[in-house]
Amino acid sequence: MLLSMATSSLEPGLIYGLMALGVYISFRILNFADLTVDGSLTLGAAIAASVIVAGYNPWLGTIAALLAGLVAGACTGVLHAFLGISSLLSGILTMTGLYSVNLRVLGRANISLLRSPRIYYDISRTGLPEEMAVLFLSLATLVVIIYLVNLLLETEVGLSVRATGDNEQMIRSLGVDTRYTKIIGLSLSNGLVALSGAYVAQYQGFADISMGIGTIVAGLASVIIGEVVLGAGSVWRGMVAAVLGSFVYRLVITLVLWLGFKPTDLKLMTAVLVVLALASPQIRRLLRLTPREAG
Amino acid sequence: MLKLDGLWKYFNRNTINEMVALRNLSLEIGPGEAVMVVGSNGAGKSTLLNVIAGVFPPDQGSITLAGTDITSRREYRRAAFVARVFQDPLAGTAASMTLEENLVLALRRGESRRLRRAIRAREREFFQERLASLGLGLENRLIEKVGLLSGGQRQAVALLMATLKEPRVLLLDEPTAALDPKTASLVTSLIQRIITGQRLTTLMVTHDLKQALELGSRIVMMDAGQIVMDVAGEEMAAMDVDDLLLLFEKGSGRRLTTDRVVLAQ
Ligand SMILES: Nc1ncnc2c1ncn2[C@@H]1O[C@H](COP(=O)(O)OP(=O)(O)OP(=O)(O)O)[C@@H](O)[C@H]1O
Ligand SMILES: [Mg+2]
Repeated sequence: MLLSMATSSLEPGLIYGLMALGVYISFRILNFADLTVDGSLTLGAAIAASVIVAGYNPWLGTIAALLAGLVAGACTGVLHAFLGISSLLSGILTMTGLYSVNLRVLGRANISLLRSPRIYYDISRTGLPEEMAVLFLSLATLVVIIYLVNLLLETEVGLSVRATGDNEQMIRSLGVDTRYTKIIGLSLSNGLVALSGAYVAQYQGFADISMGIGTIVAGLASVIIGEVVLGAGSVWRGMVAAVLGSFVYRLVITLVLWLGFKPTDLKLMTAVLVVLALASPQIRRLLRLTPREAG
Repeated sequence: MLKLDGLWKYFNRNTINEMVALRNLSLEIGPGEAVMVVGSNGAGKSTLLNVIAGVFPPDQGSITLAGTDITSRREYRRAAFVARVFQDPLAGTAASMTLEENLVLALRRGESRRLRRAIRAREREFFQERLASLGLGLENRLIEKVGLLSGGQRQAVALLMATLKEPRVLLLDEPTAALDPKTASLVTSLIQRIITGQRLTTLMVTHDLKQALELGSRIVMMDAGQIVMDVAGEEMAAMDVDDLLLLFEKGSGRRLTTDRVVLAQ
């Protein structure tokens, strides 16, 4: 029973793992709670779906989704870094704007891909069993992305981005224009989230205007669960932890549904989960205080 | 080397809380001079350093460095010439990054950052050599996170970072004030070595008059945004802490009041 639940959580866990990587970059590396992701996940899905439905190669649609996500993230970055709008509000503004953009891209509330080609089909054509295609492709993508992002974050530019999230005053005194490092980080983050959206649309067979709602909370949940399981450490480890956290998060969802909750209850569950995780230091302190006072 | 001409800096200008932090302040510092800035709380010492570093522009006046007017240059564009160490020992380093990552960020101070691998064997060797010169055993901890180091160690690293790539001007804002006495004296001796060894043009804020007499080649006293006393050379060499206090009273017409002045001799 648990095994079948684990296997059925594996695919969405990995696909949304790309999104968790994006949230890890903005939330942990840049120290920026970026709400843009609710819009950019849908953006990626919408772009990929509409490109595919228009008869183009699904890979083209997937890459277009990635590029659109990069632009969306850069928008939030410009709002915050150049126009001085607070980080939270910058994300909300872009997210709100994206709702209209996404509707334009989709043309209606949703696009079905049921009878369209998808990236996963190309993989199964190589002789891999069909039921392994999604697993194989998403895993391969994650490995490549984690490798590339890690490589990027070890360059001079990458270190400057990380330092911006850690100690902005210091890195500015060392001659880095932090407006640009923030834009780079947010752009990269939302590019990955949109890529995830493209994979999700092709996995579930449709793109829907409301599919991105709650992405930020699911992403935060994944990042935090990952840290609880694997512990915080190097960037590399943080990224692997985020993907692992994404899998555990989907597993929890499967479990909750199996316990008889409705799918519509999930958002509340996720919010509670994130609250518990974020408050865990305080909760742990409270729990530890009691026995100490007693003894 | 560094010329400050008629600097004014207001905070909350044209409000009920208006505050003049720098009042027509002029100062010229020659190459290799080690200027110690002392003065009461709120005298404007940190503001002076912030204006030189470009954290905010002065409301009036000009700043010239090595013949170039840098008054309106943004902070990140001054970094090629100006290095600084903050009072808070945690402010000068990035805690979540490793020692070598911090050092390489400082090694490229003021340069444009490129898309190439930041740390290679050559840099690592150089860092080990420079860390060894601190005498804190940090040369074997290159890949440890800086957050694991003590405050004193982090301040020593911040000082090393400020001088890894030689700046034209080194700004130090009470670099030892937040450290325990033992670590403070260690960091002080590092500063001594930089000032006398590398002969860097230095501007350092301190509340420790004894330290100012030891480290400085010139002492400037500030009060209410102005310079009220400026001594150097033989005149300074013949002075002790009491002489300095007396001179301050004459210059400002009141006693030097701060929470941190060290009167011990
Ligand atoms: N960002 C700011 N906003 C408003 N007022 C400020 C600001 N920074 C400094 N001031 C005011 O300007 C005056 C000078 O402050 P500054 O920090 O330069 O003093 P200081 O000489 O460094 O004092 P201390 O010895 O306490 O560090 C003070 O009255 C201070 O309240
Ligand atoms: Mg100060």
